[in-house]
Amino acid sequence: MKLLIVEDEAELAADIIAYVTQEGYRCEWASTFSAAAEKIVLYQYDCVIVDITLPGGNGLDLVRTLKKLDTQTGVIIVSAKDALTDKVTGLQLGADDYLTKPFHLAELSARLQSVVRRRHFGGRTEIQVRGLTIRPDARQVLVAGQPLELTRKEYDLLLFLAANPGRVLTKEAIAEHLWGDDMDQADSLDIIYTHVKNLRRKINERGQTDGIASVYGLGYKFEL
Amino acid sequence: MKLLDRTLRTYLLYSALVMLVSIPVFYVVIERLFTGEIDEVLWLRKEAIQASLSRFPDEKALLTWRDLEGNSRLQAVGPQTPLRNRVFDRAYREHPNDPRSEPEPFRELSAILTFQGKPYQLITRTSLVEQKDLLEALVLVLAGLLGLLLLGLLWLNRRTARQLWQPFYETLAQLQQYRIDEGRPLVLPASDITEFAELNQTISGLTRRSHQAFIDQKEFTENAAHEMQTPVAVFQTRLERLVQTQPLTNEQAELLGSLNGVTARLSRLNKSLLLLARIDNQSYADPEPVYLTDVLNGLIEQSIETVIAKQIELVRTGFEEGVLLQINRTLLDTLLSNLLTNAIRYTPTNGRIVISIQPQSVSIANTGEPLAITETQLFARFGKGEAQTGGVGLGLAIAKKIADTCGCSLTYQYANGQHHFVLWFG
Repeated sequence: MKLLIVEDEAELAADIIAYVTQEGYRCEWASTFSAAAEKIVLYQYDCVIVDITLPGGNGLDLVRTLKKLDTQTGVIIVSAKDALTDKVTGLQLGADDYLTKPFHLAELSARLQSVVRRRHFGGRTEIQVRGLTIRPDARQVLVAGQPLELTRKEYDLLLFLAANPGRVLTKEAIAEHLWGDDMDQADSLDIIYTHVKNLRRKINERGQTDGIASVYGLGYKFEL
Repeated sequence: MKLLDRTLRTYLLYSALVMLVSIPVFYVVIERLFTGEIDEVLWLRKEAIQASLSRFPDEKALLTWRDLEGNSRLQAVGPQTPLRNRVFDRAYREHPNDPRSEPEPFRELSAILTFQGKPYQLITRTSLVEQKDLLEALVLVLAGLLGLLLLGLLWLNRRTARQLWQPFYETLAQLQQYRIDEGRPLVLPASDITEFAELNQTISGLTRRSHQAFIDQKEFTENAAHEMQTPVAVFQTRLERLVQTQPLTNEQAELLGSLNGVTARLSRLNKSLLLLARIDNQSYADPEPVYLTDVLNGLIEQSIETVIAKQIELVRTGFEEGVLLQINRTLLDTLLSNLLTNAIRYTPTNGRIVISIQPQSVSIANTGEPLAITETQLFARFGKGEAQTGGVGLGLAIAKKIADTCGCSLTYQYANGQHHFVLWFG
């Protein structure tokens, strides 16, 4: 899988590249509008992560060009402007997702996988982890061919963990993934604990080890 | 007191004073003139009678004589008869024997005349009734004229003053409607009066500068929040990568964990500031039809876990009525979400939250201790109470701002051990 990161902040680009490279993606980086415009014409990417405010132009124009050239490429807009109009325009232009800075790398990674799944496998892919079969298109989890009954939040949590295997997922990243910005930190931490506990119990009841470990002081980790 | 009334009051006081003084003075002067005239007539009559005394044949004829009106007679001089000639006021009844008849005023001359070497007293008088009537009529006419003059002056003065001050009142009305956060400039009427022209010019300049300062301030807030986003983003992603490094001691993990919390807080604060700035900049103008019940149910579902975790009893009333609002959905969502989050945050464990929808309002009430701060502080930016619960202190400020922007109003009151937040639809 080949990605193009269009981001003028070198440090932020480096962080994104470092994180997703470990997921097995090959990354290229363009720091200006013209460099990015050149790259999308010359090469084929599976997904492009594009910032809206760029030196030399507007990232939305890149999305326009991309969609004209090749409708298969997934697009995730990353922007400091979370003005609703930008978001609506971006999605109307054909972008698959929209993330507002600051964001968690784990969140970006999860969204990236979701976009790639939708774009390149028509959404009909299964994620196989530790004897679990996750079917994102049906929001379903199977253990040994039998459906595992999970609540919505438990399912979201499992998918988020599975999208970031071997990584420490901070409580803050999990809370934001499950509830967005509105959630109270103080309350959400207890609830995350409850959800994790229930998820583990449900998996364990079906004779599987869950692979979810708590990381002291930080959050949780899903081991493959 | 209005300006016009103030100037008029001075005029009115002066005019009333002149009237009050002038009418008695007029009365006295005219009465003097009349009396003088009558006295002169009496003296002349006395001269005439004196001159014609020689036509009486004897004393008997003299004493029975009356003039044509019966107002002059001659009588013998007695011991009480005054010897000085003088004129004085005297009242007589029209019918001397009828005590009910009114005494009428007369001017009377008493003089000593000599007839055939003997003194006789002449008493001649003139009724003052006609003069009195005339005098009264004159004074009445004068008072009437003065009154008319006064009223006319008042009316004219009021009218001209009103016309004169018209530009001032227009400016005042414009200023009262002027709102600095609205983009509309102040349009003041032109005036050919130098003072008003200058006043309008000054006010226009002042509001233009204030508006510019307000815009600059808003832009600064938005730009500052924007500029902060990237460093915060870099900080957060770097921190996330740092968390992935191995091995971490427990001490390091604790420090990183707390940094995560702080960064999340910083990030939310930043987003809230941006949101506030954006509402200020009218970035969410388009209203759309929204079912209140849908929005509230969606929000409750989002928070239901916390509600359950805190064992809060959540009561919904009026939800079967599908109230349809014409409002920007994102803003309504944010507003109600902030109110609900706030209610959940400050409701003690085992407390109660009542959400009730009315045709004209929606209220969110939760049990809890009374506030230690005022309502104004409650809705102020960063106006948090004593309880520190992880909020950034902008939720209610944003809710209030949205309510104002959407033409709704948001009120708070504490009653029966419950905090009531009521959103009244425009």
